[in-house]
Amino acid sequence: MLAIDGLRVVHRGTGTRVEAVAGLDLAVAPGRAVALVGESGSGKSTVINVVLGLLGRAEVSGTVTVDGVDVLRAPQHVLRRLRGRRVGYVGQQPFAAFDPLFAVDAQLREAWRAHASGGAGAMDAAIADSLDLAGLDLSGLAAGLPPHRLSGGMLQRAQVAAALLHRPPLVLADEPTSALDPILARRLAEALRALRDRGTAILLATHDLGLAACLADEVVVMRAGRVVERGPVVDVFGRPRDAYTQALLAAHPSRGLRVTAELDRPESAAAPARVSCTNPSPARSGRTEASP
Amino acid sequence: MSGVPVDIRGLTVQRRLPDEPPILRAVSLSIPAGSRHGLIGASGSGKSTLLRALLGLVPVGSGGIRVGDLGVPAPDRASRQLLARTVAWIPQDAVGSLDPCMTAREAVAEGLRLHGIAAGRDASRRAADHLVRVGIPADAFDRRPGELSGGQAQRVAVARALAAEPGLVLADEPTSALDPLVQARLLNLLFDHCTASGATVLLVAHTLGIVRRFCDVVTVLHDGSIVETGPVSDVLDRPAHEVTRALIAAELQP
Repeated sequence: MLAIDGLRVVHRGTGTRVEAVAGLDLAVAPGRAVALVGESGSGKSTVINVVLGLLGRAEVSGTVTVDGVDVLRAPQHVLRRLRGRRVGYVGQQPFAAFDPLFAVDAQLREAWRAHASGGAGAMDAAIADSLDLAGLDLSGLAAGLPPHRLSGGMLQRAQVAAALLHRPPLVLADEPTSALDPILARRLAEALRALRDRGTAILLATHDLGLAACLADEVVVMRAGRVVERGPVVDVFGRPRDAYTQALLAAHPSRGLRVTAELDRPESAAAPARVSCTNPSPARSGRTEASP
Repeated sequence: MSGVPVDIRGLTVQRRLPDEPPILRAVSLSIPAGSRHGLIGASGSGKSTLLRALLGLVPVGSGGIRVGDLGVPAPDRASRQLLARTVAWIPQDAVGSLDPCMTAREAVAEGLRLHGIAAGRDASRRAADHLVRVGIPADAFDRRPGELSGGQAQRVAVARALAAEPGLVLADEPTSALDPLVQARLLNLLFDHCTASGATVLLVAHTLGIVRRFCDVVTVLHDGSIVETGPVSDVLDRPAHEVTRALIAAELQP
């Protein structure tokens, strides 16, 4: 469903050069889920944006194939057909995902009409199904409300519903549970897992190792754009070989939030503050992760 | 300042519309000085409202709050100032809570000046010391929130909160937006400082592992009411209420 070969991404600013992805090979087959994990700035979201064909002016090399389409070389109209219908995307900025001026349920209807034909009955059924999968009720009090009247968690679930409207065979999920409380997060993880079991391919980017363990078959641990360890989830989380993977696991709340020597370096190395990159600066909002 | 106790008696907080259910209903909670108290519950259960009530930021419907010797909300200007000095708040979204026009150093120095702890250049000097203590590199002292990484901005918020040596620290999911490595470093830092100063900590957390690691006592909120409270090992290992059991069952572990 998705094949990435020798992917390299370089962001160039005035006098700066950041290698966001330094050589990545990855394949996600139908019915499989792969998780990219690592700290902020490790390149997870960049990979997702490349697959969407949304990386703007960054220097990208390698090959990315989605559903037989060469994403890095395909013309825009082909990419537009791919996005929405063949590829569903859940981003990490729920507030940025919706037009602030229009009701969220109206935007779901628009998203359906953009890629499908059929009567109002088919549309309403598709939207109701997707909302149900995402665990959100937009009837009653929430009907007809614009984004700012909904909580971050509700918008995040609305975004999941929009991504699943056309039952795309590939779902890209970038921190899909960041605005959800643990009970809702678990529900969404299980809903995505059920989709995977019915044949959907999923690429997940997250720093929540618990979510990765719940959803993914394979995990790819990234650090500063490089793959430091990869393999089946049970192996990587059960018997981590790399010191960085071990440090990530030791820092997890379920394993005591231990700070190991490996972590003793300034955060600025992980999340460069003054690099001007071609990514649009994300809107800051609520509980969502701020840096890509 | 060493830790102060918190006493909440029958606290009810109404929504603006009278026919809607209250956000908090008859909440009573006693937190001894110097203890580390965790507050858990689903979204909308009233956790953040309880913290805001302790800051005097929400109108109290009925019931009373005492922080040390002070009643909340404070009746006059002098006691409001004393309360502001006693209680520190660390928000979920540090980047959003810091003044976008103020450098890290100014953000910390402002608190020192407002509370009369230091003045002029002395405040700037002491602010720099506080930033060093939370691990902000010297070249970031004069950056504004937009030029700091999420983890650095959250460290500045911690430095600002701890600079006035508060007796009570309210932390509202202080690390939920941070990656796991930064989260572990920041929480260890925060609790090390509070242990050293003896400050009472009330921590809102979605992640039970954080409460297990850092808190002595935990309270579970559901729909504005306390459903369970007690020592962390009792409540999280032998939960008595179905809400607590649901929160425990939802934990995603690697």
